[in-house]
Amino acid sequence: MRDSEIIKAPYGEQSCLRVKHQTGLNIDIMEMPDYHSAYALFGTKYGSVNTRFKLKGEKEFAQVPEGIAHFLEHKLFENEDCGAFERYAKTGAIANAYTSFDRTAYLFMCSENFKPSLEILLDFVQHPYFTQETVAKEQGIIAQEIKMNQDEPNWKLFFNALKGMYHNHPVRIDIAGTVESIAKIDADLLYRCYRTFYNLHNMTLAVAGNIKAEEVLEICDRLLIPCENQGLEEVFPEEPDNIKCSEMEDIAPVGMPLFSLDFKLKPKKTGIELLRAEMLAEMTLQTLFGSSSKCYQEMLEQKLINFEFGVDMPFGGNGHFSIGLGGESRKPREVREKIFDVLEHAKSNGFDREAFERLKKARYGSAIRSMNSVESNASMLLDSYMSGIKPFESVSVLAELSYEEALQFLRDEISLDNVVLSFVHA
Amino acid sequence: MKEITKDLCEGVQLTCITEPKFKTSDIAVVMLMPAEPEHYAKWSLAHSILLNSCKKYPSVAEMSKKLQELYGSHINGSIFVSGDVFHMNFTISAIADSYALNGEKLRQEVTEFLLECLLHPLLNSDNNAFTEQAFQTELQDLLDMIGGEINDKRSYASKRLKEIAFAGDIASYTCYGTKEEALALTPEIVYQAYLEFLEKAKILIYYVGSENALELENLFQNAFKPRKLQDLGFYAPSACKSEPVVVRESMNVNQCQLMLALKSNQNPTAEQLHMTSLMLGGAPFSLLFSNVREKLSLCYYCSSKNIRPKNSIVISSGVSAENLEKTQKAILEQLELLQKGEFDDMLLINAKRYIINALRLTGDTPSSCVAEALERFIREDHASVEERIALFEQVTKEDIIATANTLQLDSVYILEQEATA
Repeated sequence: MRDSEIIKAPYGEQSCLRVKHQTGLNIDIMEMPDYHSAYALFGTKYGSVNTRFKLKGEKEFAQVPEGIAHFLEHKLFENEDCGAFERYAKTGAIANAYTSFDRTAYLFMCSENFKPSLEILLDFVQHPYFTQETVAKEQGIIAQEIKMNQDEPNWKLFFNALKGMYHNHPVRIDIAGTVESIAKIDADLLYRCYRTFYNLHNMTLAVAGNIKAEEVLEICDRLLIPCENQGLEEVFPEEPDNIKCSEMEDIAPVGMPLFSLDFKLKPKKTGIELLRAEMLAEMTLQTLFGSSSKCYQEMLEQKLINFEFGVDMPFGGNGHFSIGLGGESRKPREVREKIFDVLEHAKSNGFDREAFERLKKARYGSAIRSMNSVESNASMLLDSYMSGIKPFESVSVLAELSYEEALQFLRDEISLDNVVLSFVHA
Repeated sequence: MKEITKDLCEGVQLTCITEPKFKTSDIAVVMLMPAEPEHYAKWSLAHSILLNSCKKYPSVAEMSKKLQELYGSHINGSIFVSGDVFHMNFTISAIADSYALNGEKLRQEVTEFLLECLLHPLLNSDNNAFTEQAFQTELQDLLDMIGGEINDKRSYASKRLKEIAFAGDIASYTCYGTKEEALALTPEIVYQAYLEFLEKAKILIYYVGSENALELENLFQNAFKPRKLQDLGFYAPSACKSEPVVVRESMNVNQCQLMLALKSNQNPTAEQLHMTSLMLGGAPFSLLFSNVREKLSLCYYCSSKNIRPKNSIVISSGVSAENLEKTQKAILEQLELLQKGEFDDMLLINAKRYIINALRLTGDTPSSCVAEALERFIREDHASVEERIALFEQVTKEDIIATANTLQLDSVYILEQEATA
C-alpha cells in the first residue's frame, strides 16, 4: 500500500510522483520519456554534523568519532561477496556517492540497464558488511583523501571560516574527519551508525529520466526491507549567536591569495523558512555585490578583486546558517571595508530595487534551465526532501519574494558584527 | 532530433540541432586556428576582453545587467589547445522563447548579444585598440591566474608533467601564454591579433534548441567573411623519449603528487587507445582503482586519461612520501598485466559496457550535442553514436594487449614534500 501524490511544476508540463512507501521510505519519481538517460539517488539524512544521537529506549546519547558518516559511505560500497562497483560494471552504469554536512547519497547514471542498476543500488545500501580488516584498509585510503583536502586552499579557506563562525557546532569539523579521528573507527561503530541512520524512515529515493514510475515502484516493493521507525533523537551543542573569531589567517603555497567573508546568520528551522531566508540572503548580496553591481565594478577597477570574486550559495541546516562571498585578493581587509560600507549604506538607505527584480527574473531563468537536465532534476528531488520542502517549491517561493522583504532581511539578519574574514596566503 | 549543417561561406559553417525536449536555446561559436604558442597570450587576453565588455555594453556590470534581463542568460567561453589546434570558444544560453513571460524573442536577442561581443568590441577613440581599462583589467586577471597555477596541486602537477613529457612540442605550452609574454603586450597588439584571428580562423557555429531557428542563418550570414581553409592538425603524436625522464620538485604540501606519462610508439586507433586507458585506470572497475587503491590502499585516487591527439596516456595519483616508489611500481605492474594479457575477460566486457553507456548519454544536454557534432568535425567522419559504438565493440583482447605493448614510460613528475629542518 502506498500513499502517493502528483506534484506539478508551476510552469511547463513537468511533474513528479511522490510516494510514501509502506517501508517508510520517501520516493520521488520524475518521468522524462524524451531523454536517453536515468539518474537515481538513494540518500539518508546523515552527514558529518550528526555526531550525537540515540534511539527510542536508549538512555545515553552516543558520541561518535568525526568523519564516521563519510567513512560509512566508503565502506558501504563493499558487500560480503563483491563490491558495488564490480556489480555496476556489469550494467555499465556510472556510479558514485557523496557525504556532506547533513546527508549521504549513493547515485548512478545510465543510458541502459536501469532496472538492474536500481536493484544494485537498493541492495548494496541495505546490506552493510564491515570487518576490522576492511575498515583498516579504508583508513589508509581516507587518510590520503584528508591530506588531499588539506592541500586544497579553498577547502582550508572554507573550514577556517566555519571555525571562525562556530564555537561548538559540528559544522566546523571537516566532513572526512581527521587522520586521528578516523583511526578510532571500527566495524562495531560503523554498524551502530548504520542501524541508526540508514533506516528507511530517515531516507529517500529520487529518480528522474527515461524510466517508468511503476517499474521503479515494483523494484522498491520487491527489494526494500521493511523496518520500524526507531525514534531517532539528536542533540547539537549549544551554539552562541556571535562568532568565535573575526579573522582566520592561514599560510599555504598559493600563487594568488584567497579570501572569503562569511556572515553568520540566525539558524532557521529546516523547510520553507530556511529556503526563504536562503533566497533572501543570496539575492540581497547578489544585488549589492554581484557582477552587475556598482561595488563589483569598482573593486574590479581598483584591482581589489578579479573575476574569481562572487557570492556563494547560502548554507544552512540544523542549528547553523551562513552565507559568504569571496575570491582572490591581495588586499582582503580593504575588500571587507568596502563591503561593510556598502552594507551600512544599504541598511540605512535601501538598495537598487530594479536590480533585485532583475535578479528575480534571472533566477526564474535558472529554474527553467535546470529542468533541461536529468541529473539536476533528480538532485532537486533529493534536495527538496532533505530540506523538508516539496519539489518545485523554490519557484513558488521565489515568485513571492519582494524587495521590501529583502531590505528587511538585510536590516534584521545581516550583522556586521558577525562576519568572519578568512584568508589564505603564501 | 534533427541536425542540419550548412556552409555560410568558405570556412564558416552553421549547424542547427533541433531537439524538442530542450527548454533552452544554446548557441556556440567555435573558432579554430593552427596553434602558435607565441600568440597565446594575445589570443587569451582578446578572448577574455570580448567576454566582459563590448561597445554596446561597455563594462562587466552593463553586460551582466543585460544578461539578467534576458532571464539570466549566460555568456561563457573557453580556450584550449588540442593537438596542434587552438580553440577559442564562445557560448550563450537562454531559456526557450516559449518560456519567456512577456513574449520576448530571446533566441534572437542572445544571438545579437553574442555578435555584439564578437564583432563590435569596446575600442579606444582611434578604433585601433581595445580600451586601456578593459585591457588592464583582463591583464591583471590573466597574471593572477598564472600566479595562481600552484593553488591546485593536482592540476599544477598535470601542467608540469605536460611540459616535461611534450618538451619542444606545442602541447607543452599553456594556452594562455606566460607572464613575460602577457606583460609585453599592449591593447593595440591584442586587438590587431584578434582581428587577424577573426579573419583567418575556421568558424563553426552551433545552435541547439527546441525550436527551428531560421533567423539564425540570416543573423550569422553576413557576420563573418569568407576565409581560406588552413590545415588543422588535430592529431599530433609525440615521439617517446629513449629513456624516461624523472623530475622531482618540492613544495610545502601534505600529499605528494605522482604523475606518469605513457606514450605509444605506434598508431593505435582512437578506440583501442581509449579502451586501454579505461581498462588501466579510467573507471572504478579498472586495474588502478581495483588494485592500487582498493587492494594496496596506497591512495585515494589513481587514474588514467588518454590524450588521443598525442597518442598518450597520463596517470595521476596523490600519495604519501613513503609510498611514492611503491605506488609507481604498482602502477607499472598494472600496465604489465595488460601487456601480458593477464586480465579477466570481464575487464574488457565491462569497459565496453561503460563506454557504450556513456556514449548513449549523448544528446541529453545541449552541450553534449555540440561536443558530439564538433567531435565528428575533428574526426572528419559522420559516424553516428551507434556507428561509434560498433567500433568500440570490435576492439578485442588482442588489440588491448598490442596497444598496451606499444606504450612506454616517457616521463615521471613528482611533487614532493619539502624536507623539514
